[in-house]
Amino acid sequence: MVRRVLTLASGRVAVAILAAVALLAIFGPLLAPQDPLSTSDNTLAGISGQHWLGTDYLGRDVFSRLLDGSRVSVAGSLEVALMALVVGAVPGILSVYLGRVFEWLTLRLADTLVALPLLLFAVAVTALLGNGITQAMFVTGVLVSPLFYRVARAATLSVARSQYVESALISGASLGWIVRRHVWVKVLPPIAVVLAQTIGVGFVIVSSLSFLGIGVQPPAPTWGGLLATDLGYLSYQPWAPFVPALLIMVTVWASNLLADAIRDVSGEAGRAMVNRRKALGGLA
Amino acid sequence: MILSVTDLDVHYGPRRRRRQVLAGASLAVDRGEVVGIIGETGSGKSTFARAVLGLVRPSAGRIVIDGEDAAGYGNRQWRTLRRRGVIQYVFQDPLRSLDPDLSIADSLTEPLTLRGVPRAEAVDRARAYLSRVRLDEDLLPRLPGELSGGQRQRVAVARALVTEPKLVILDEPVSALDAANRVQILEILKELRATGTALVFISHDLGSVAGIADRVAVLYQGEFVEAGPTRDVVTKPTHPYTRLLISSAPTLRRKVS
Amino acid sequence: MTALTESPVAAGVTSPVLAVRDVRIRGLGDEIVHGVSFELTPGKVVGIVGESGSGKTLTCRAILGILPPQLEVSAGAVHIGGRDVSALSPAEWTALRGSTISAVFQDPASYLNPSIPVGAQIAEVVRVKKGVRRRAARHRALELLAAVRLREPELVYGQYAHELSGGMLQRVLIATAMAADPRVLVADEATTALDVTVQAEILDLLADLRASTGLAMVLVSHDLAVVARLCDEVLVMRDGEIVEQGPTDRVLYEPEHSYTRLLISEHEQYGLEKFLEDS
Repeated sequence: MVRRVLTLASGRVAVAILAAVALLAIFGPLLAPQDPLSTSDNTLAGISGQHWLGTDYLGRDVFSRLLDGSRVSVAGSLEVALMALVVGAVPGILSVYLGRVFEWLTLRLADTLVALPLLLFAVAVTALLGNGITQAMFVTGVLVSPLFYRVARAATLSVARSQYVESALISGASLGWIVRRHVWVKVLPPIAVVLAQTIGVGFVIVSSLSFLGIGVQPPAPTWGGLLATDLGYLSYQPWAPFVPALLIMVTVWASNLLADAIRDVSGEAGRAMVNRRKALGGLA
Repeated sequence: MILSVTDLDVHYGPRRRRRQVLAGASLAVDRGEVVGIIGETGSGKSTFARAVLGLVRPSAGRIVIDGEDAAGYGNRQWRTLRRRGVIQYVFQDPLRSLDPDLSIADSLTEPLTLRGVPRAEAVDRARAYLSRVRLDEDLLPRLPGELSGGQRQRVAVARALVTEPKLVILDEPVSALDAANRVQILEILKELRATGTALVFISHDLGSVAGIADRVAVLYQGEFVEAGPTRDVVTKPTHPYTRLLISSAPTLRRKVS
Repeated sequence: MTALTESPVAAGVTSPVLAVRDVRIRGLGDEIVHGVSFELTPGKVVGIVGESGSGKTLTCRAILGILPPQLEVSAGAVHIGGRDVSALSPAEWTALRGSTISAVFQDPASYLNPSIPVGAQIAEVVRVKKGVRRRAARHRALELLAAVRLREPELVYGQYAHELSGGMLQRVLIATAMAADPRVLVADEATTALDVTVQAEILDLLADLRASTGLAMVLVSHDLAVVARLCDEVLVMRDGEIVEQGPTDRVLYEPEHSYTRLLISEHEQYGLEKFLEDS
């Protein structure tokens, strides 16, 4: 599937951006030219050779803080996405096969979770469980999981009633065989789409929470936190909020673009499109 | 007797609005026999096939397949029975009967590999049956989307044959196909009968099974209202619905209205 | 009713209501349909037999003026009611459709709005095409439902598409097609998706309409027997060309082309022919 996504221009752009953000998260803190936490007297300085993006109100190097803060933001969004995937997708697939009671229970649970307001709940949980971004992210993951549940369930339902699955049943296939052989491949693409999208959502949530000062202990830098402090000193550095905001926007945009690209190459229509392009000489 | 169905009742729907789809249906199929089940939409013919295959549970009656009464079986017992490879099914719609993500080879070998047959041996058998349905083996690595409807239907027939079943049920196997493909499939089925495999054809059109069926059973509103050797049923029908079927069958003799 | 035995070549005294003259259809650079010709006079039925891909549906669409955008009639002419249709504007086409030439297709349910009772949909056609008021349109719709032999027109009028069987739906569509009293009806695989008993009833109905109103028809099917039942003249199409054409009796009993012979022998081998002939 990765190869197919890369045949689309949108796919290549999205993967490139997200790969860059991932590299930033992994290597960023190591590449920071200055200590992101060290304060200095050179407050609210402009762009210079020493401080590529200037300094903030405590004299700390903004560029270094951005690089360092990338790890928290990316890790947070991944935590949300993976939590939602595991908590949502697996029950979604199983709800088709484990009987009416399980189906009813999981459906009602998903409905309930959908009704809860995301950010409010995350804030409430951090108040209860302590101010850690990981706790907030896991709770957010659970709250976002109904989406994965419904998508996985819908994909499984459409496969479960198909003739080739019935044919496998008639030949004596077990439930495990059918899920491994037929269901999994059909469920993966829609899940991948939702996953890509959720990474973007997770990113916004992490940024929002850190913007509000929740989940992070200052003075640890985060993109959202940077944005928050920048807004406080707008009259001194009007251009300052642009960089963290831009980073957040581009990352979220790239993840949605990736979700679109995965959706475009999935399923029969997607396969047909990819084949057509190959036949026409791989025009982007 | 490869199949013996006695007094089969099947109901559909939740408790309050239960509908009876089959009522006291009885049918026997001998080894190597070709039986046609004729019924219109809503007669219960698909339900009959599904009950015999274990896809739908009957409310009453007996279904004896190769000596085993499967009517009261649960999922596990049905799985064991199915793995004996005695009974198989060909669907009506050739376009949806193959997994679009699996190659033809994978679809064909599935009935064998799921019961532990080594892949190499399964592929050999798949190749053999592919040629039996007059398809070339270079279709093996292809995906169903690359094949025509007629080719897909033939693959579906080959898939039903790889386990060398004693009974194959076919639901309108040729109605979605054009003339050339229809003739080909019917030829293949005739050859199949010659090897001793019993066939049960389900159709709404008496004409489409009359040419190949030894016996015909007419299903009307959930009951078998007439059954017998094809020639007798066609030339000396007793039930009014059978008479209607015969007079409706499109023939090339000019109708004078 | 015995078939009209005029040879299709002779134009007859009445001018044709539909004339198709060497129509060729081209698309994406290739010619897809290579020269179809036939004529319809009032009460005459022409059958087109062929498999999917033979060009029979494209020919129908060309006659009705609804070819897909990439395709066009590259040569030949279609005359409906004496008028050359290539010269018609979209407004003129709209006026022509329903009132002079009409059509029914396969899968009747997909041609009806699922959220409006079927009777209202027929009445709408009557109102638009005949310009009558609501009450008169409803009355006419009920008449049409009775004319297509639906047993309880009042009841069917108020029902939705999902409440009706395939055969009843096709009758409703035939009623809709007949609403503006067309002179030609194109039936493209109209009975293919129906049970054989229902198919027989619909074909009887079409024969009835022809007898009572002088309706001329183009009947398209992949089944030679369906065509043979009702048609005076048969065209056998394959890969975009007509491989055989002539009066039905001649084509059935003295086929010239191997493909026609294949269609006939298939019926004889796998149909009721051999049983019925002996009895």
